[in-house]
Amino acid sequence: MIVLPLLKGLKLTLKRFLNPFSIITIQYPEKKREVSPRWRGIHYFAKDEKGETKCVACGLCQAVCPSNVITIEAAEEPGGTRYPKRFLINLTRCIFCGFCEEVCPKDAIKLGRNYEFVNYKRSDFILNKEDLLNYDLVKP
Amino acid sequence: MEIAAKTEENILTKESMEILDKIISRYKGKRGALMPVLQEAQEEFGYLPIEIQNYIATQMGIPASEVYGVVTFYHFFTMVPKGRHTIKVCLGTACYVRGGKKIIEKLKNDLGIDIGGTTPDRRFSLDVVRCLGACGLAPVVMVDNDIHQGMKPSKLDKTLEPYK
Amino acid sequence: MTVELTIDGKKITTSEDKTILEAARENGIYIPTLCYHSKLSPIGSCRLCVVEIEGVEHPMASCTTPVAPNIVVTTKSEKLDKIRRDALKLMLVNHPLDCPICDAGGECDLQNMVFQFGIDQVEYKANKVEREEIPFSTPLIRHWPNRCILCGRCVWACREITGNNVLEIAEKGYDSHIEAIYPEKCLSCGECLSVCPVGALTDNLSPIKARKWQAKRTLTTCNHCSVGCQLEINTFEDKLINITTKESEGTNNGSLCVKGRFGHDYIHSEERLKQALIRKREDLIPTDIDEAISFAAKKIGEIKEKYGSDAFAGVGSVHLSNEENYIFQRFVRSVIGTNNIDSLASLIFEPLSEALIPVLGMGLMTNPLNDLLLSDVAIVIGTDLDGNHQIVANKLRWAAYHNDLKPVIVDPREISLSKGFANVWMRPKPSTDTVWINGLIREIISRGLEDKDFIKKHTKGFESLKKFVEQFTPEKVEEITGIDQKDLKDAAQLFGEAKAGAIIFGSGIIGQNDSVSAIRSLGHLALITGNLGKRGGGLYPILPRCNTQGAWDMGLNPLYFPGYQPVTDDGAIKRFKKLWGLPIKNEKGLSLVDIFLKASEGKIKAMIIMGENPLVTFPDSSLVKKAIENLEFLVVIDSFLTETAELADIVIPGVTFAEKDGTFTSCERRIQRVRAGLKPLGESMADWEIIAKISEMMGHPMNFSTPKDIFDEIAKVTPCYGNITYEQLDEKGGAWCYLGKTPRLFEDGFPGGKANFLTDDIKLPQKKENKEFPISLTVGGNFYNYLIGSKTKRAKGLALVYPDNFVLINDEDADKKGIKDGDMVVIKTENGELSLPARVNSNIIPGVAHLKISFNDIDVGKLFKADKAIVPYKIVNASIEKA
Repeated sequence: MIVLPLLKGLKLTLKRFLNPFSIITIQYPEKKREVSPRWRGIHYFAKDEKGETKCVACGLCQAVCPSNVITIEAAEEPGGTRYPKRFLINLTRCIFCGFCEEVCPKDAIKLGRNYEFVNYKRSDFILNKEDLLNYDLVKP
Repeated sequence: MEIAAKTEENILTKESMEILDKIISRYKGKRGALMPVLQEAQEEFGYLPIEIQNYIATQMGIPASEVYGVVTFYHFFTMVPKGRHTIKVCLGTACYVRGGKKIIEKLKNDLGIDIGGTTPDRRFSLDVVRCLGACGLAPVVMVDNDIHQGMKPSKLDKTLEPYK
Repeated sequence: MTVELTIDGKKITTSEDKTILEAARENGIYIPTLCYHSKLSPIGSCRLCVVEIEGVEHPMASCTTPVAPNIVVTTKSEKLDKIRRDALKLMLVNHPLDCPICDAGGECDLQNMVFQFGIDQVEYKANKVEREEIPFSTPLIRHWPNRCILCGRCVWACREITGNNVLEIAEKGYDSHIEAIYPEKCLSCGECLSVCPVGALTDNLSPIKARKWQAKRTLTTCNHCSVGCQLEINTFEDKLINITTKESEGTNNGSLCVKGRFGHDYIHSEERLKQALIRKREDLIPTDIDEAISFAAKKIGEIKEKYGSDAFAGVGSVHLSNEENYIFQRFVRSVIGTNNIDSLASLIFEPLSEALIPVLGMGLMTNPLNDLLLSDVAIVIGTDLDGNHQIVANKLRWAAYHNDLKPVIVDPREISLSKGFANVWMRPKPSTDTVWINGLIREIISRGLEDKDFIKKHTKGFESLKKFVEQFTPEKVEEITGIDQKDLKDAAQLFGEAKAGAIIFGSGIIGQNDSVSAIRSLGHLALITGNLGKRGGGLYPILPRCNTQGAWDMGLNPLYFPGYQPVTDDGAIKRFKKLWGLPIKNEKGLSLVDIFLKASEGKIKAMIIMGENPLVTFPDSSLVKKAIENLEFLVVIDSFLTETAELADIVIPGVTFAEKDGTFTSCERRIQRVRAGLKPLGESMADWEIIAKISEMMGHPMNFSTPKDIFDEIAKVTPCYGNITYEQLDEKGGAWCYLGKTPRLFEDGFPGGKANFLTDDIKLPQKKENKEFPISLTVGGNFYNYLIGSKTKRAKGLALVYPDNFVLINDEDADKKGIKDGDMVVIKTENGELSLPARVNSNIIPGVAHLKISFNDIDVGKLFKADKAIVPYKIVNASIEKA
């Protein structure tokens, strides 16, 4: 009674073990995993024609963020347009839910496909406006 | 706060003030008197510049801004001088169907002005109205207070002749 | 009359002057609205409040439809829902959906309604109207014409609340738009901004913006004038974003003036002191605050040792909190041991007390300002309410609009209230007020309009008054004051007949020559007409700065301990000695004028000036300058490096009202809380902490850790503040001080049993031809720079609407001297001279000129001379010549 299911399991193990085409381990970092198009990685800012951020600092992402990751200071230019004077994302607390991307009325903030983000200091995990526009850093 | 002294030249003369006073006194104490007062004032002066509006407002105890609102609201009132005669072309349904549009085009060409404009010699102002309630006589053109029925572009010159 | 009706099946009884909407709201029935605003009369433009009435074919707008007996109203139905949704959709056709960059996003009425009705698309296709941007009436407000939904609230607010009629909806149909038609009349008060339901009008002052949910809103008391408006400072990341206010809070009830709404950006001025400064050789060098405090303590100790405690004087402030002023006087009285302490409040309260205490027993505002809403007649004397205390002017306008109040304006200048608004406008020559007031009394008595019952029941000495005023015939009044006889008679008839008459007076009376006689006569006027202890009546002295009342109450004067306990009273001394644990001097100290006089003679060696800039605000700047130069040691505590601070030996950085807790007492005797919304800048600390630290360094710790502790001690030792707790102030939005703690004084009779008519001391103006200085120069504060000198110059928004000072001269006077509008002129008085541009027109009577004070760069103070206790700080004889 006990032996039969055990053997059944062992059969599957042996099948995988002996078949070289079913190996799913990737030799990271030499090889990298291809992520799904819906992958939610490190944030970045979409740019407008001038290369500036599309963000108008409406504050919706800050309001929707479940882990209070985003800090925005909005400023108005004399012409009436707005921009984020300061925009901070604290990656150490981010849960990558993607709500900010979803709520953004200007499609300004996006979650890229980059999942490799290492630093020596915790403070480097706080991305500011310039970082989010620096595609060499955030690698969307 | 000091009220800024108005330094610009005053269109209001003593005579015109007297005329206005007379008009206003006739409506004293009546509710909703602003409209007839403005109407009569416009008849008298041809138009209602801001100075006249101000004077009427202070005399009637109505906020000057409200007078401005009324003057700009109603099509009838104007803040720029009009010609001596006003041509009103009816573009109501009946008149439109029977050729009101052509009359307008002709008038525009002949007088060289647009709708709402005034000829440089101040003889005519051109306006469009939506219905004069005389659809049986369509198309209708009204010059000052006279109605001209069954108008055709070719008849226009003759019709306008008496209005100097 | 009550009316019974049914709304949504609920039987409702209400009064007949209500509208259906009001009746529904009272009973908790919700009707959506957009253009309706509880402070304004119904507009009826948005069509969201439609309701169905049985038997009426079409739905009616509930905001404009009055209730009627036995009608049956339905507020919710499919038909109504469709109408409401369509109304909203039609608004959305033209309203741009730029919510992400709109200030109103998150607190927009339209947004809320659209969300509530679940409208996610608009099927109406129409060409969007692009309205062109036209300049608005003030640079402090930005107008976004495309966002406007033409509800008309701003127009109504401008008409009904501020009474200025600047805005109007111009043109019609697609072309209609809000236009500032008379921008020159705009007071920049921002009432339109506050009622705008969408973001069509936005605050144009701070470029930094924050959403409603991001900003921290701290309810506090305004620190400009003495009305004590409640406002909310909106802060985000420790920065002030803008100022809002709440209906039902404070006497301002949702309104503010330009200073309150736009005059607080000085808090983030670059010029704020972040560090203490200490004088090394000739320069002020930044230093550590603790070091500065300990040095100050050491030096004060040394001077006390060397010259005795009376070589020391303290000057407190009329715009610091009660707690700070209390702790300051405690420090000066106990640790230093002198009664040489005073503040600018004495310039106001000396004449007020001297005039009114013998007559009424009290020299304060008798009624709360909201009583003005119930008055029939209000006499406004010597104060430009629109310029200085707009909230009071708004109340008068409300009463005139809703309650048929008849204003009598007395001012030689043309002010915005005088023309068009006033029933009677009298223009007396300066310093002749005693004459016309007594003339008015005579006229009222001769018409038999005096309140005979009240006089019999509550007063003494009426016969002597009657005899005294006999001499002031209308002819004589006209001869002396220049007031038309007819005007005087009209005013007498109005005020005599009034059921409730209010007398509002400002520094035009308090700061003139013979102010005591004039104020006392006003007291008589209120008494003979029975307008004291009565709703809608009363005497309303309008005080200049936010805590003038509090400074006086807290014992910032040489004669009284807190709560008017004389410093020579043994019982009081004993009590304070026990509480403070230090000996207290049993003799009167020096008044503010005497302090500066003695200091200029070198008899005062050291001074602490806390939160005050006497070089600009005291009416004799040359005296102050000389006094400070002769000091051995001067400590200034201020949030800016003021003109006075520049001469100090040590400057300790204090904080602004937005960075500290405490209480202010408004001119209507209401104690209200000040709450910190920001952290202190740099090393600066609250002034009370600084004083407590100096005291501690001198070996006398005070053991206060919060302003609450100080207030508790105040409540213990100050009779008129007794039994008030900090919690009570928080809960009820303030408390009333004085006399049984009711908002209205004298409701239960006068303190001494009866009020007195005292005519012996009334002085009449001496007619003197002054050949050398023929012009009476009056000075006044102004809305935009009002008496707080150093601060508003740093308030950039206010500088935009009122950049420069000028002197106002009558055109006849100007003609004689060949002065034209805009010319530079030289003003000379016995004490000094000044040159500045002139404005020439007929807004002022001949022989009088007017000048604004407190522009720091123009030292008006040097024109004045202070050599007696009651300084006529408002008026001086001068000559004006073309430069």
